[in-house]
Amino acid sequence: MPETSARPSSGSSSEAIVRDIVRGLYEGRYVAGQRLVEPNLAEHYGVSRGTVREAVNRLAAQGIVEAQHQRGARIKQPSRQEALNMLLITEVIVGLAARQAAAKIDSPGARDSFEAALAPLTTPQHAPAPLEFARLRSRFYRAMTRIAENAELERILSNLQVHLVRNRLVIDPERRAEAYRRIGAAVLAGDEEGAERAARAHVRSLIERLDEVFVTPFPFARDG
Amino acid sequence: MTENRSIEDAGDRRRAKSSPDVVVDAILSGIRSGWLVPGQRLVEADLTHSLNVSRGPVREALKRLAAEGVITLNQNRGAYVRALTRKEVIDMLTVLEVITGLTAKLATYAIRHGTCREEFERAHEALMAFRDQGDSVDFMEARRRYYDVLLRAGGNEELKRAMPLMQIHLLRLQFQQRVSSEDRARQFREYERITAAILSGDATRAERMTKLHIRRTRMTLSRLPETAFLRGDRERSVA
Repeated sequence: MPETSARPSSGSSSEAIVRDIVRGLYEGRYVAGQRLVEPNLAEHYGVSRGTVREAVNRLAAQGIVEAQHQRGARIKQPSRQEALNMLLITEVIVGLAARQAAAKIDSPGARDSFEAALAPLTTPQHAPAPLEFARLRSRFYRAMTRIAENAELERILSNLQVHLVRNRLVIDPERRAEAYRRIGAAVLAGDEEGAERAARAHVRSLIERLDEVFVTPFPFARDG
Repeated sequence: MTENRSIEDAGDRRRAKSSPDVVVDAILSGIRSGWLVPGQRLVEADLTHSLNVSRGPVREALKRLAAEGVITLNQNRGAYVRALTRKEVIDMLTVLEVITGLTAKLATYAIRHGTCREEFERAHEALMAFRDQGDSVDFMEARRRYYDVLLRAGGNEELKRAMPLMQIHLLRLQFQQRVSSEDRARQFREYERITAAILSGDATRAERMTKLHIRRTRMTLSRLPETAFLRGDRERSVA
């Protein structure tokens, strides 16, 4: 559960709760498989149970939550195939985001915001704790996607619910830092091809981790 | 789904569904049949009246469709079937390039192992039958089916869900009058190449040919005059 109370400030209350839970999934504050208990959520967010129920319904419509008969709701736990499916899409979409960010790195403010978001991810010796790292990672992808400035790309990426699997796929900190360094260098150099390649390679390294988390092997060999 | 269905008919058929669902279905089927076109105004009063649904559900339906990018919703200007600005067209096609490329790649693996192979061959034949004909609702349907087989064959449920089918349809509707016969001929040559790659089992080539096809479409559309696109600042019907 989140450490601080998140009183919704703008927009409809249930929308704000949905946003906080989605963000919480990216940041590791909520986890796949976690049960959502209405009265607890209502107390935590300082809203009525009706508002919580509305939020839970929206999350169900987005495929993030599943209602369990007479047992409230649970955040979905994707199967290995579902996780693979999501990551395959993530690979090409994040690749595109990196490519487009590289193309637009000279837009006003882009370079500065990207460098600021990149820096904390490239130092493995001072690797932040998991929760903090997840926040920084989230910030990095947001910065990159914002620079890409493609609303369709953002929409697809945000609907992907890859956060349901992302935090379970752990990479060695040194290798992880190197991946971000490569992506960052290519984007900052305006190297569209290189940025796309580096971003896709990073997501593929996550796909390779699937077998450590799920038991069954790959359904088919990769052709490269 | 039959063509040329009126909004009222669509409403009657679905009385068992929730009220917003009725409205969403009716609008979507209106767009699919060409009864509603990009840039067209959607008037709340007309919808409540013809669908026999109250304003609350109509508003909810319009919000949902706006979230899907099928309509645009504005406090002052109202609701419109979405017409795309130049940037939106380019952005959408760059995204479509990569996800359709992925679709073709995954379909190739599956078809290589026998899944949906005959169905895909038939869908290809059906599409190619339109090569020397002009544009038509039937051609659009045949093309939709071609890509639909690929999506299904690939077996990636998330990809099916992520594919913005209505937006693709709106895109096609917005520009179908603007496709020259040279462009159309090029498209059909590209479909041949995509199909050949898929049937030969070369997933990498299938992805590449598909991406190339969509990239060429993006180039073609990017050369169209301003009148083909929605202006960035206001909604109006696209000529």
